[in-house]
Amino acid sequence: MGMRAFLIRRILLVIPTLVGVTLLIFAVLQFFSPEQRAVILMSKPGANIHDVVREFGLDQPVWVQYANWMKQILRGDLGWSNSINMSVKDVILTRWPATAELVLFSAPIIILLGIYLGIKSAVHRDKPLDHATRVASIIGWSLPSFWFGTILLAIFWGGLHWITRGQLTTDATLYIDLSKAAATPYFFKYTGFVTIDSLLNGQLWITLDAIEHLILPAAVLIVIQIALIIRLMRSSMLESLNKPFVIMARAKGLAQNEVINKHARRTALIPAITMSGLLIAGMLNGLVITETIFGIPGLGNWAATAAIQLDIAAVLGFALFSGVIFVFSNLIVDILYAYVDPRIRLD
Amino acid sequence: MNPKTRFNEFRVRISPSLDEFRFMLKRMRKSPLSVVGIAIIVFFVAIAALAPVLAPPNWPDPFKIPNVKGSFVSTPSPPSVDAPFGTTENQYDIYYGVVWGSITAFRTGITVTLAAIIIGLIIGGISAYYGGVIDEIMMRFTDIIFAFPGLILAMAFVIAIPQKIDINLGITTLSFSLTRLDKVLISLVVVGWAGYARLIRGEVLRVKTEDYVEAAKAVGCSDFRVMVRHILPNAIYPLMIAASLDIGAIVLSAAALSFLGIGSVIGYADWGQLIFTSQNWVYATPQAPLMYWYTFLIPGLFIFTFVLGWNLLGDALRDVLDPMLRRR
Repeated sequence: MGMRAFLIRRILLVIPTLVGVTLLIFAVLQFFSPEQRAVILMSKPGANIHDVVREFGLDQPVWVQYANWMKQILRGDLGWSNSINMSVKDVILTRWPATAELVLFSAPIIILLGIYLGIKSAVHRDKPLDHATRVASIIGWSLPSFWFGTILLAIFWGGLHWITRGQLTTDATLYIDLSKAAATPYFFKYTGFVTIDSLLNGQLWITLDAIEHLILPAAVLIVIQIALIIRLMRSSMLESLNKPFVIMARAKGLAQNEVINKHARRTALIPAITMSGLLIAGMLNGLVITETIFGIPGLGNWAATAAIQLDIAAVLGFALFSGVIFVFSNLIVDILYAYVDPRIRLD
Repeated sequence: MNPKTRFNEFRVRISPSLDEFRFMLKRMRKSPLSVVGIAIIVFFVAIAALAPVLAPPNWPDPFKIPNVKGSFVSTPSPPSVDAPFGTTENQYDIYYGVVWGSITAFRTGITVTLAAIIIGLIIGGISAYYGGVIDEIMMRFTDIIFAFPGLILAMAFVIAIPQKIDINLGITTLSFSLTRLDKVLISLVVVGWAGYARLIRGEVLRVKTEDYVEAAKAVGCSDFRVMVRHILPNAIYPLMIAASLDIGAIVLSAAALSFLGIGSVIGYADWGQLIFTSQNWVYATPQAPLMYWYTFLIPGLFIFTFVLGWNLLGDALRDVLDPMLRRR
């Protein structure tokens, strides 16, 4: 089987998985009575319950209901989020940049630093550096993200007054918000990413402000998630260092650097790629907590607020959305894996 | 057969496992991290066992944290004689909460893990033993759970599971009422069983082709007997490691749900819930911003140490039991 056949098969496999994802969310919906479901499903608040029941066929057999619900979802209608008075679709569209910003700020550091430390740890196995890295990663893995975040906030906000909670300082938020009301708007949201928009508007101070506010939440994500990468990379590198071709490379007198960088590391990276799916799941979970603690107006924060206010349409919409994101990121991971490891696609 | 020969036979039969166990203990003793892990867990077992002595129970429900002096003053009070670790808002005693919270933590970790293992054993075992279409259907079903980030799926279940479940049996109706903590436990099982199902499926597939299984089938053992007597005892080892690694993670997820405000109710002896109520007190006043430090520092320290203990133990177990890394 060539790369092309593999790609087609793998992409086709996404369809049943996505159907499964929607089925599970639909199953969760069945916990509610038809009247409650009508309230959850309505696309605008205050619609007539009887109309919604008819529209979704809530008095019809389950498969009819599923088909109607799917039609609605494919149209992008995920219901109305009562907790912030917007349609779920609009919330996702306006809030994803804040979340993505945080991911883009932390994920590269997690991956690169994690790989680096994992390899270092394996190469210096059972030396002080290895022990230190392992202890640090177990501690990071055991830290409750909500507690660690709270402590950081207490130190840097309450103790040192370096930052405030939120995405920006009040000055910057005011500057942006007042632009909306001004006769001639002076701040344009080109991308929705605060860091990029402020640069495009020539307001460097807002960019710096936004970055300052990203440091702590990113630190929480990094400290907690990096443990996984370090651990994976360490064990995969240890295995790789014992492979015959690495021993051979050593035996023929290659320098240590060359053996590690050119031979061992390459093979060690392959299994680490497959496991990065776990990192994505961990990040999605972690974002809900981190955004809530630091008051970042992203998707996770919205989902947490919605959960506590029993805004069911929002929580289910968010769960569905993150399921879809997760399925597609796993697809990308698998394709990458097949790309670097020919054994997979020739299977 | 007289009891003595029977005992001897038993001893011979289990002697390899005993040797294995002794070897394991020896390896564990040599690793300082695992000793620390075990010490931490023993410490928490002691707190949980001695809870009625350390903090006299608040009858009728010992898991309801008492209000110090019976008052509901909304700002937390600092550590005092009445409340050694201070109180949360509304005067819930933090000391009482963390002591009884350790029972909640064990209960959460152990119930969820056991329930998830049982479901995983049934689904994974059947799936691997019968193979074919059954396997395909069950594994696709398992994949659906894996298609979601765990905490987010658990969130959806926690808010969707109703408080009261009625099962209509025709003649009579069975009613269960669930507490908020029950809902958290159920949601974590729903998310957690899939990993065990996959693990046990792989193990059963490995063991299934062994000669002794073929032999048992050849002499006419029933499917059930082959599975329970011959396959499971040989496939269950990795499950144990996974479970010990999981308990910490489960307690962490349960605490996260409580932190988000959808776990156990306010005033329940649960570490996550204590941190949830402390969120408003991270920044007290501009003059003394950290004056309520005890509300978030102390409960969090308990969660962290508890999880750390299990993770250290799990990590050591894996090193000890992993045939690739051992005996070198």
